[in-house]
Amino acid sequence: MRPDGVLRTFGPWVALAVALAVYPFTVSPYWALIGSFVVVYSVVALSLTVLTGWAGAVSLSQAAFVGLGAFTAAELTARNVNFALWIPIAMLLSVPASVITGAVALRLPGLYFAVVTLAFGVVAQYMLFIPLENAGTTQVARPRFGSVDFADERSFFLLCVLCASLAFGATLRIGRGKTGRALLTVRTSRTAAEALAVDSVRYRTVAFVVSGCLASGAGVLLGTLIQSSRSNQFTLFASIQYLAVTFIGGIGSVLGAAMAGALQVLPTELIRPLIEGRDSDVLRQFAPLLQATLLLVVVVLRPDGVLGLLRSIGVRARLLEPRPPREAAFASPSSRARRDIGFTLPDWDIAPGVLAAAVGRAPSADGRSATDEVVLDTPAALAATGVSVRFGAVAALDEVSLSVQPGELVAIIGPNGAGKTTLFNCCSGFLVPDSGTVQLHGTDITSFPAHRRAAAGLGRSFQTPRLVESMSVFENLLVGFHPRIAHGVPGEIAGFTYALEEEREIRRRSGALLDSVGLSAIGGLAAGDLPSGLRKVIEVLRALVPVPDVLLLDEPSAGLDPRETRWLARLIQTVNRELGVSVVLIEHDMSLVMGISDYVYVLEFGRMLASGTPGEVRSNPEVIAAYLGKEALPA
Amino acid sequence: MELYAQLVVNGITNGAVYGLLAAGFVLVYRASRALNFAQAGMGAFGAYVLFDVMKDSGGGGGRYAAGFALGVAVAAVLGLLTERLAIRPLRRAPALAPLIATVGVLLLLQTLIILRWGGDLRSIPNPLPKKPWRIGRIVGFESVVVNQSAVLILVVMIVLVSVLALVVTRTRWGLTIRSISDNPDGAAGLGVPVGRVSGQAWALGAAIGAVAALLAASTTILNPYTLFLLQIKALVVGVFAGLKDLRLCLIGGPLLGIVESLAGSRIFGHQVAGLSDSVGFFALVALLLLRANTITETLGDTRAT
Amino acid sequence: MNGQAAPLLAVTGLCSGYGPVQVLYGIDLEVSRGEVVALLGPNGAGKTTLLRTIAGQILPSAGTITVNGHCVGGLAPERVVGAGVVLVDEGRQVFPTLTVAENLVMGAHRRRLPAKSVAAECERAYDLFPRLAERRDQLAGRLSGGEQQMLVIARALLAEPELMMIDEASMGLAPNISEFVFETIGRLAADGLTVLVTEQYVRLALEVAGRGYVLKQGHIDIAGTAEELRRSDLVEASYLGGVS
Repeated sequence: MRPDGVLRTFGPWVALAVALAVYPFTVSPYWALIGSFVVVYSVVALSLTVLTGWAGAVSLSQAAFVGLGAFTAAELTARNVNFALWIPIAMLLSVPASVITGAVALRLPGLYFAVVTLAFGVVAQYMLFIPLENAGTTQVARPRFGSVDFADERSFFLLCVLCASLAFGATLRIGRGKTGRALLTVRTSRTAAEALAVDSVRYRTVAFVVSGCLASGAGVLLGTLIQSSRSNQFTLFASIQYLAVTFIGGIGSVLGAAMAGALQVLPTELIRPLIEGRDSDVLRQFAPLLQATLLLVVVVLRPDGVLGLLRSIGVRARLLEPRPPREAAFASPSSRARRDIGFTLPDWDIAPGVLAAAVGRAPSADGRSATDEVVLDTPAALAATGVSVRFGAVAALDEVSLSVQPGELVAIIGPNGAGKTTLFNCCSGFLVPDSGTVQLHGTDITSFPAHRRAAAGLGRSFQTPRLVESMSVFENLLVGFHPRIAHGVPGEIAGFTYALEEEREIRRRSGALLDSVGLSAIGGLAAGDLPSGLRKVIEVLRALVPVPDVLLLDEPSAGLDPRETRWLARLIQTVNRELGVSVVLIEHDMSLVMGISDYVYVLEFGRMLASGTPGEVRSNPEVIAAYLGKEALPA
Repeated sequence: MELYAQLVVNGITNGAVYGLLAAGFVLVYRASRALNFAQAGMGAFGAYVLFDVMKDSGGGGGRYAAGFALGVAVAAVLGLLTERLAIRPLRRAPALAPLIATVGVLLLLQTLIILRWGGDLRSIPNPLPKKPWRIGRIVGFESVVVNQSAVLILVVMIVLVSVLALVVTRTRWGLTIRSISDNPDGAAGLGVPVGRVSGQAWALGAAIGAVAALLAASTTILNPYTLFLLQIKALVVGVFAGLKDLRLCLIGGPLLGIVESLAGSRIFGHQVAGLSDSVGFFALVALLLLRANTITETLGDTRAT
Repeated sequence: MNGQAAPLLAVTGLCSGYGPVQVLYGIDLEVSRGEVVALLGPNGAGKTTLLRTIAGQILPSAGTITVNGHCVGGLAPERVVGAGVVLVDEGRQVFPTLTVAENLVMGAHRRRLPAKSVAAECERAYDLFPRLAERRDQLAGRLSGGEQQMLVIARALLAEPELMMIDEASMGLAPNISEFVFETIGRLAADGLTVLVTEQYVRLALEVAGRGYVLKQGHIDIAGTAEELRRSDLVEASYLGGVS
């Protein structure tokens, strides 16, 4: 890296480190103590960033995890356990709590998740903290290591900073990697995530576990800081306050978590001199009053918090977003006018073989798509047999069967409400049919959950694009590689070589893919800034990234203008011919369908009306009747 | 045996408050798909207003009635304001936003209460009957007693919740609420002023919750924290009622009360610390696990798109 | 015949969409009192967006919408209903946990009638739709698709609209039921109801409509009388992508 590149990347961090190291020695012990509080509370806020900001699950009992840490510290003090073990033990204890609560709550919609966390908080309070406190487990001792006595506020501050740095570092790593991207995708749309082979329940559980570990670790530090653990500090109200400050700071952002820590502590300190000696209730209530008011203001007016506010007035700072180092223009994701990004889709002029090379496949010149060498027993790439779905009295699908040969490009057409998307949902695993089977290359996948089908090679795109708006186009594409990445959270945090290599490789491939289709110019833009046509295109690309065996595209041309439709048609054809991907399209745009399909199925009122080559279907009187009404041909 | 009877009786009367709180909660949910976590705060605020009216008096009936009405009215106004300022603007926002908003309101109300009245325990002088009643005599259990005021609360709950259920099923206003609950956009498309009607439901829900809070505060102790705990338990009853059926609140409240009563006793040989307060939540978890499928369907999970 | 009278509904230069996505690019459209006008076109053309914008569910970004000379563009849905325009949304939006009778009562909501009058109005609806009369105490969510479609139309009628807009009247309905739905629309029109209806099935719609507009990718592609549209090859081409 060039010298000024090094300076720009590491400069701010070095400056921060120096400032933090020097701070405790330039202020009174009291303010060093306050500093420790800010640091510890920012870790609590960080835990909420992971759970609520990234995984989208609102927890009303974060204080219970913090309390768990504090009471663990008290318990371990009483047993004279070495301080170095306190945080790891507290984290370990938090895991069963988060796993069990998660197992119950994460399958339910968000509202009920919040309710279950509430329940957990109450149970922890009444069955754990209060009894422990009554039994006398309340004292926490500051540790000593050799000559360093952490009863000294200054040393303890540095200890807190050290622990917090590890916490923030690990979290940032997770956030920028596979787990962070997967979580944001799950948050945006669970179905889209599952279609990309992300096991949404598992990932949300991981987020919950990480969040619980961070909170309980912070709890240990907090208990040691105040040298006691009291049940009245870890109540529902504390949980609400943590949530409030995290929200105000800007939920979903690591920098916001740091600000939240300050917001938790500083208001009280700032007015303390003003209230000196007077009513202590006012002092204690000032902070929550301010936080509650700000929270309401933020939630109603500006949900992305202070950081969102800063972003919208054009403040540029690389710390504001964990994005890969590419130039990105900052604009509020909720821009009203159709923002002109200064990019229009070029006409398709990609040379043959380029796309295949970009995804690392030799183009199938031996023509998987060519049907001359058909091996008789090759199973269909995708086969749905006798699928029926009833919603109450209505038969959405009635004994529908469909098969796609390897390398074929098949279209499904039919009037609105005919059951086309329902059929897709049965194939993808989002809907369990009342009868019928689905097979992928001969394997019966009828009982597989959606993410497993995706991992087995069944890709899917949706009618309305579901990209993560706050991530860049490039990062959205990276999510497509999810099933191909072997490493998990430990690998991400520790930065094992194989994990870094995998991450590098998928970035290289995504970049190559974007380049090969001529879209590298928009790679760094936030997906939320794209006009709808390009969003659709990127969503299709994302489904293509892992090169699935079978790709289901639901109305890919919906919302595209004619030029974009042509581009997309060429992309689909190239993917089909060069990469051998079997494609199934649901489409209303007949020129697209008739132009590129090998075979067409026509659905009407849940039944297969007709099937055949495009020409056959086009001139089938029943099909014409289905679209234009019976005997529609001019007299 | 007599011990169990007493526990059951205690449970039923304790549960009356839960049932009433839950009814208000369910009404608000049906009208705007939002969980009003701040309901307890609104009720508590009303209770403190009653306290202000009664604090230096002898607990006279007329004064109490006036203070009661005022407290309920204050809570209703808080409900109306919350809907207008924090919920209505979030109609198109993701479902968790109103939840966080009501949580914020709860925190706000609690801090305001403590600032104005402090966090100490207070009692409200009141004319409610305080004598115990040996109801056990009817079946030969001499020592089973119930406090007359507790019976009063139970009666109030039964009457209010039944009336509310009738209002929701038989009146035109109730019909409007149900139509909004089914399909708010469809209702708007027929000219229903959805926001205004929801606001009325919030006011009514808060008022009902306040009746429960004021009665509870009058017969026991007034402080911010216990009322909030009551609220969370009422939440359990609300979930039991599927956040829909008011009549289930009538049953669920006392039922929870009984379960808590039994759990807090020595029926397992010794007392398990904190079990009586927590058992409701174990019940909640069990309920949610059993109902997981129905819940995902009702809340329109994208599975069947 | 009604050349001089001002149109009941007049839309000029309407542009609208969802957030940053524009769907309608300058729509001009008119509906006169007593007419049935069909809005045709392939999926994604913007038919539903157009109706929803007129109904006030979507805020237009440009253009005007007037009803009886009053500007309604930008008003909230409740106010648009107050002006006499009722939208029967696609997908048969009944109130599923309310009975048929209760659904109908909600239809009359905006008229604020005393209970007896409401009951009388409901009886009139039952005369027009005997199937509903049979099922008046059943939950609306249990009705078949066709019955639900009847219900939403009857419900909208109870609001005594000046203009009834129906989106995708036949979606998801079996052909014979769709025929019945359109017959009903025809009968109501004969009694003087003004209707703007979107429909996928061109022939069905043109049987009851006097005029039609074909929407394509957000603007009006073809406009004409039912007769002209029936004869035109262009309509088929619009749907099936080019003459065979």
